Formats: sequence, C-alpha cells, structure tokens
Amino acid sequence: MKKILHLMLGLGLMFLFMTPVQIKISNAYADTAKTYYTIYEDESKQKVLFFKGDDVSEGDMYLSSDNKLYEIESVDENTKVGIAKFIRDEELPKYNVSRKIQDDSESKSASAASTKKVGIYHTHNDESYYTPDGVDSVYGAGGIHDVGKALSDNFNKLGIETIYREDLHLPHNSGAYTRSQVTASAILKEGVDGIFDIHRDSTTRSFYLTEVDGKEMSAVRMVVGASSANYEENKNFAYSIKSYADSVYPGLIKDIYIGKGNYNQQLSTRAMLFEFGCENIEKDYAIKATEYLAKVLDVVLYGSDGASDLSLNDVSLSTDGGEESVITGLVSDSGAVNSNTTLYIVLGVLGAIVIVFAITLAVSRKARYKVSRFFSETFAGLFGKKKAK
Amino acid sequence: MSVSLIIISILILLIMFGVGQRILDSLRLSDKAALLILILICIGLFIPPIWIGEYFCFSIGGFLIPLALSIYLLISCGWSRDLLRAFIGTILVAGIIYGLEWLLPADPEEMLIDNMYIYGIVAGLIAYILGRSRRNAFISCLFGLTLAQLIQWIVNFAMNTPTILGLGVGGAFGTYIVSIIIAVAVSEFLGRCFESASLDKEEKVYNFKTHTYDSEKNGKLNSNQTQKQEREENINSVQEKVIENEIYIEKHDENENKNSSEKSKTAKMTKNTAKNKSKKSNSAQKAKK
Repeated sequence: MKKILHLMLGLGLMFLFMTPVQIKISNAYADTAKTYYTIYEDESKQKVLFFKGDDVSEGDMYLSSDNKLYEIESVDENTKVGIAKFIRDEELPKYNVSRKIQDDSESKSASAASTKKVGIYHTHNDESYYTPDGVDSVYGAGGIHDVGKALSDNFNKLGIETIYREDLHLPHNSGAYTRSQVTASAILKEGVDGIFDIHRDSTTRSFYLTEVDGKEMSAVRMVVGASSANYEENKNFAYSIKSYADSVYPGLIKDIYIGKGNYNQQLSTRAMLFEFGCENIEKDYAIKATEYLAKVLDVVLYGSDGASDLSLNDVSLSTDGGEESVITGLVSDSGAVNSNTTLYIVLGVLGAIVIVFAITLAVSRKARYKVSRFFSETFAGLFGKKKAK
Repeated sequence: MSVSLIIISILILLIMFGVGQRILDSLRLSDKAALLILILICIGLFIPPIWIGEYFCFSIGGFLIPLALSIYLLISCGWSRDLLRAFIGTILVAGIIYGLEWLLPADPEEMLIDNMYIYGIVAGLIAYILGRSRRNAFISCLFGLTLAQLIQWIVNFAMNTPTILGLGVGGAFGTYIVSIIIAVAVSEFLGRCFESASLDKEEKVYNFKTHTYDSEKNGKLNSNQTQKQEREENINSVQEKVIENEIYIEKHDENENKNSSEKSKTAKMTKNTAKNKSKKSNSAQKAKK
C-alpha cells in the first residue's frame, strides 16, 4: 500500500513539475511542426476529398461541397492520410431562391428594424493569419479577433444587434472549451437567436481560396459536434446555412465537418463553429467572407419577412411560376434560442409549490409536525437538540 | 436534457429505491438529506451564475452547494488524518488535471471521452489509493478541479492575458457535478472490488470494546465452531435489541402525539369553561344591577 502511495505521490509531483515543460513543448509545436490531414475519396487515393488541420478520427462524417455525405473509414496517424467512404447524397432543406443580378443603384437600402440579436465569441483566441499577422498563433488576442469583429460589424449593418465577446480562453489546450463555456453561457443569457464560435483552420491556402461575386475570398467551413445533445438541430442549422449559401453565394461555404465532441453546441440548438480559412490565407480574404456570411445568416435565421433589405437585395425570391416565394426563418419557427422562459417557468412552478407548502403548514398541525420531524431526522447532527446524556 | 440532469435524476431514483446506502453512509448523509441536496443542486443549476467582478463567477448548483457539502464532510470527519489525506488528494488531483489539460488533445474531435469523465476517474482513483475513502473522492475532486482552474487563472493574470474563472459554470452542464459523481462512483467500485475480495480471505469482526478488528491472523478470533455460534447468537441478540428499541421509539412518538393532542383538547376545554363561567358571572352581576 505504501509503495502505491509513494508511486502516486511521485507521479503527481512529476505532473506538477512537467507542466512548464509541457507548455514549452506545446509552444514549440505551434511554432514549427505544421502538418494537416489529407483525406482521400477512396482507397485508390486518386482524388483528395478534403484537408483538415485538426485531428480527423475514424467514424467522423463529412459533407462535401456537392452535398455528398462521407464517413471517415481509416486514418493513418503517422502519415496523416485517411480514407473516406461515400454514404449517400444528402438532401438539404430547399430554398426556392436564386442570385439576383442588379445594378449598384438598386442595392443600397435601409435595414429592417427589429429585435434581432446574435452572439459571437472565440474559443481559440490565439489563432492568427501569417498575412499580415506574421505568425499563426499568439498568446493573447490573435488575428481571428479581427475576423470576429468584422462579422459583428456586418451583422450590425444588417440591423442585427451583436453581442461580441473578446474574452480570452487561453491557453489553446483541452481546457479551452471548458473555459469558453462560461462566455457562451453568458452570451446565451442575453437571449440571442444564434451563437457563433469563430475559428480558422490549418491547411493549405489553395484549399480555402474561393471566388464569390467575382471577388476572391476565403471559403468557410462549418463544424458540427456529433456528441452534443443538440446534434440533430445543429446539423439541420448547418444544412440550412449551406443550402441557402449554395443558392445565392455559391462557393462561400466550403463544406461541413461532423466530428466527435460538443464544441459547446450542447448549450444551444443554433450554435455553430465557423472556420474562416486557414493560417496561410490572407486575413483580408477571411474578413471579406464575413460580409456574405452575415447576409446568409440574416435570411436563414429571420426569413424573408425579418431579414434586412440589404440581405434580400441579392436574392430573387420569384419562383418559376412567377409567384414570390417566402423564406421561413429558423427563429420565427421556434423563437429565441435561449430566452429566459425556461427559467421563469421553473421559478414560477417552484414559487407555486412554496406557496401551497406554506398554506398547508399554516393550516395543518400534522403537516407542521411531519416537517419538523423530517428536518430533525435529516439534519439531527447539525441543528437538532442534543440529547441529555 | 443535459448529462448532469440525467445523472442527477438517476441518482435521485436510486436513492429513493434505497440503492447506494453504503456510499451515503460513508458521506455521513441520510437518504433524505441526499435527496434534498440533489434537488437543491438541480434547482441551483438553473439559477444564473453569480459574478464577482469582471473575471470571476460561480454557479450555485454547480459549485456552491457541493462546496457547502464538502465543508460539512470535512468537519464531520474530524480534524484527523482524513484531513491530511483530503489535502494531499486535492494537490494531486489539481496537479494531474492541470497536466492532463496539456496532455489531452486540444480539439473535441480528438477526445475519446469528455474531460469531465476523465477528471472524475482521476479524482476517484487518487482518493481511493490514498485512503480508500468515498468522502475524500468527493472533497479532492471538487477542490482539485477548483485548484487546477485557479492555477491557470493566476498564470493567465501573471502573463497579462486575464481570463474568466467560472467555477461549476456552464449552465446545467457544469463539469463539476458529473466529475464528482464519477469520482465517488469510481472509489466505490474499487472499494467493492478490493474490499470484498479481502473479506473472502479473512474473517474480521469489529470489537466494540477495543475499537479494533479481531481476526484469526492477530490471534483474537478463533475459528472454533462453538465460538462462531456464540458470536452469531450475540449478533442476533443485538439485532433483536435494536428492533425492540425501534418499536419502543415509535410507540413513544405515537404516545407523545396523543398526549399533545389531548393536552390541547383539555386546554381548549378549560378555556371554554372559564369563558362560560366568566360570562355567567357577568350576566349575574348585570341581573343584580
């Protein structure tokens, strides 16, 4: 027993002393080794399906730009090469819209005034872009904060109130999501309609380079947590965003990665993780993409009735039959994502129970006796009268 | 429904059916107290966290109630060797969790299981190895998690990159509760495995006079059949006495109830007769006048 005790003490102390070493190793890794996963479409390895900076695990799912669903079949951790298996063609929610070609005079219009509200935060604050930040990671607020700020500004232009929190959740380790959960919870308390965690990936520049509206910019990847309790709702949210973006701004949404884990998406049915390009793409390209993504989210969340005119200027709502189609927003379907309604219901029910309980106590002597006996039995050791010995 | 709430609901049901009585005994809790605490935690998880300043907040259900319970456990176990074990356990759990945050993969897609389960398993293992204690598993898990987060918070402040310290915060998904429950469950599981195995090897009988265990090894316990029978008879007689005492207490309580109700009745009667008497005397006086 003593040996085990000593062993455990030794291990514990070793961990304590190793921690600074771990920090150094991790920082060194951030500076030098930069490899990413390459996933092929089949075993012949003829066609690359996608690249990804973070880990890729067997069993993860991937929705390609042409809406084909794949499952990761095998991954070689040494070579960082994996094989995916085609599952099916996925049917996304249909938006009966198309991109409207217009002249500039038509495009500027007032925004629809409403109580639209979204939240933005960064779990990995350190993420940066080589151009122009010079490094891919800093211990503090990295270049990704500029992308978050740009997205927030674009939301504001569309009449959407944005709660943009730049709280730090450093260091970039396995505890980051636990720390950012506090920020996400604080944002959700404000009753937002959607909450977005802004990241960047770690792959090649060419993989994320895209062209929307004749302008070069960075494509955006969405990540959905398969372990989250809200997995189905979040997946449908991602599918809606991709479907609408593919109709109006083709090329903007790169793909959807469905990985293990929560990504704090268990907190809300409309939480989404966006990867704005990678460290090798120019930050300005990522910032350009925020303008289009803000418009997409405006229409997907609030529909054609609630969305800003600026967002709808780019969209042709008319159908083939000449009738004007109506887009139903996800928010108008189900209300604010985390309003305080649940809390009020719980407090209301509790209040009613307390009132009924108090009336019963006031009226019935038997109830008073039972309650006093319950408490004396429960807390006899703490509050009960001591028996005379 | 969140993981925390599902686990707490299952626990409430288990306690109501009388499962886990041994764990509750080791935590110095009655089943009613445990139910009350679990319900309070459930309610507390729905209450928004309390903020102190810009960088610190804590949850009532996720941190404050478990903290109050662990302080009660520390006091109830006395300022003895258990306190030292709890202290060492806390330091070890904090150190290992702080180290694990760097060793475990940073991105959720790389994690095999959620961190909160790993932290719970670590705390349960350490608490059991240190003192075979479920109580220490609870205490060292809560204080170890808090200390690990506190260290990171101080490091971040020292590096001029202040972060928020949210103890047990994360809505109904606070990691503390799940980790604590897992820690206690792990130590109980280990206890069941090793302690029952050791009981098979050797019979031990607690001696209430000397407060030690009598066994064949230390020569205080004979394997003689007649002596075994005597012991069993003694145990039976003690159990009978306990049952008699319980019956006596119940009867006593019932009598007390009856007496108190009779007393109140007689008191009412005397009051009424006194009132009648006074009324009669008043009317007689009026008649005289």
